[in-house]
Order: sequence, then structure tokens, then C-alpha cells
Amino acid sequence: MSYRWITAGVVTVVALAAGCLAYVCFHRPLPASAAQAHDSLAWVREEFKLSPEKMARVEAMHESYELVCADHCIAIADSRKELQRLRERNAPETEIAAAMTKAASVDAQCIASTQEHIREIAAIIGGEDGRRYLSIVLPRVASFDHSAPATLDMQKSSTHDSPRRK
Amino acid sequence: MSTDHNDDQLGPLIRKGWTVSVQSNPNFRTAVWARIEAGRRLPATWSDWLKLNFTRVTMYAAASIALTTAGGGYLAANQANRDRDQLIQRYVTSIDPHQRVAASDSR
Repeated sequence: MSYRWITAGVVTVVALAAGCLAYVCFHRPLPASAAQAHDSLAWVREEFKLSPEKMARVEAMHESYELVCADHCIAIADSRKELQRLRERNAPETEIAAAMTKAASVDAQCIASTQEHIREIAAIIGGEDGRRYLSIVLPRVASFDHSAPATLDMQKSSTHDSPRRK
Repeated sequence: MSTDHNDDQLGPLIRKGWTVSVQSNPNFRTAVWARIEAGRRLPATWSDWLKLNFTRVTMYAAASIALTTAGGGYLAANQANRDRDQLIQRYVTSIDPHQRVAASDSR
């Protein structure tokens, strides 16, 4: 084997090792807690490095809001099921319109409640981090087409680009 | 056709009409000696070869290492961004009832 090929081989191996080292150095693996699917606060914990007191408050608020959120979920699902039922049995337009108004009202209430919760969390985080939290979270909630009339088909009424809804 | 091998006129005729112009190459000797010298200087060991080609090898190594380091860094950053995005989405889904309903509908 010529010296040229030996050199090329050695340089390639060294370069690959350097690439792997760079990957290891720059890669921040998720902590074990974040890898668990049920830990929805993992991002807040990792991103903002809150003091234990603040984190405890955020956790408490999140826990209590999850119950509120579950109620909203039921309300949204109920209002949409009702709308679907009316459409399936060709109910009068007035009834459908009333159901749509109710569904829109439920939607608006849920949005207001969610946004209020987000602003409360941002206030606990406080300062520049609080503003950053708002700038990241609010658009993701607001990107849902809340202004559109409630329909039964979430995929059509939604403007979210979440892959699972495609 | 008869051929006279003892044609006395043939020799002078050829000498008169057939002239070969030789172009001399002044660098011929130098080039030959340069090749002989190059053959003499072929490195006996790999380290000698490396010393002889130090600049080229260094440049090749530097370029390769820079490229793979940048690639490794890019992949790591990309992976970190995807992980972060996944965590943000998980959080938002946990507080947004619309996304929860959508998620449960899609299951």
C-alpha cells in the first residue's frame, strides 16, 4: 500500500473521530425525567432553570390547571358532538346555528382560560425569561384557528401543523 | 520491375533529397537527471514521506477535520432543537384543551 493511501486512511479516521467528538460535545441529551412522556413540565424545568420555589409554584398551578383543562376538553368535545348530532339528523338551521354559537362560546372561554393561565405562569417566571416563555408558548396556542367556526372535524378547523393531525 | 541493387546514383540522390532536421532539446539532460534524483529521494519510511508532503497532508487533514467537526456540531444542534421542540409541544398540549381534544380525536 502506498504511503498516500495510508495517510488518507489515518486522516479519515482522525476526522471521523473529531466529528463524533463534536457531536458528543454539542449534543445535550434529554434528562431522564424529560424523556418520560407524562412529564409535561420538563421543558419549563430545563429551559428556564427556575428556583425551587418558583418551580413549585409553577407545578402547583399547572396541576390545578390540568383539571380545568380537562373540563374544557369535555366541554369542547360535548359541544362538537352536539353539533354533529344536529347535523346528522338534519336539524333546523336555527338549532345548528345555536349549537355553533354555543361551541364558539365554549372555544372562546377555553382560549381565554388557557391564555390567562399562560400569562400567570409567565408572571411567575418573571423578567426576560417570562417574556421569552410567552413568546414561545402563546403563538403555539394561538396558532390554532380559534376564530374559525367550530366544526366537528378538528383537522379542518385547525391550522396547527402538528404531524399527528395531518 | 527490375531493381538494381548496385545503382551508383541512389546513394547520392538520397543524401541530397532526404534531409532530417534534428531539433535539439536543451533541457533533456536536466530532465533526465531530475528524474534520477527524484527516484533517489523516494522516502524509505512513512514518516519520511510525511515530512516530504507535510504541507499537503496538513491541509488535507485540517480540511477534513473542520468538515467533520462542523457536521457533528450541526447534527447535535439539530437533534437538540428537535428534542426541545418536542418538549415544548408536549407542554403546550398539556395546557391547551383544543390540542388535547385534537390529539384524542386522532388516536
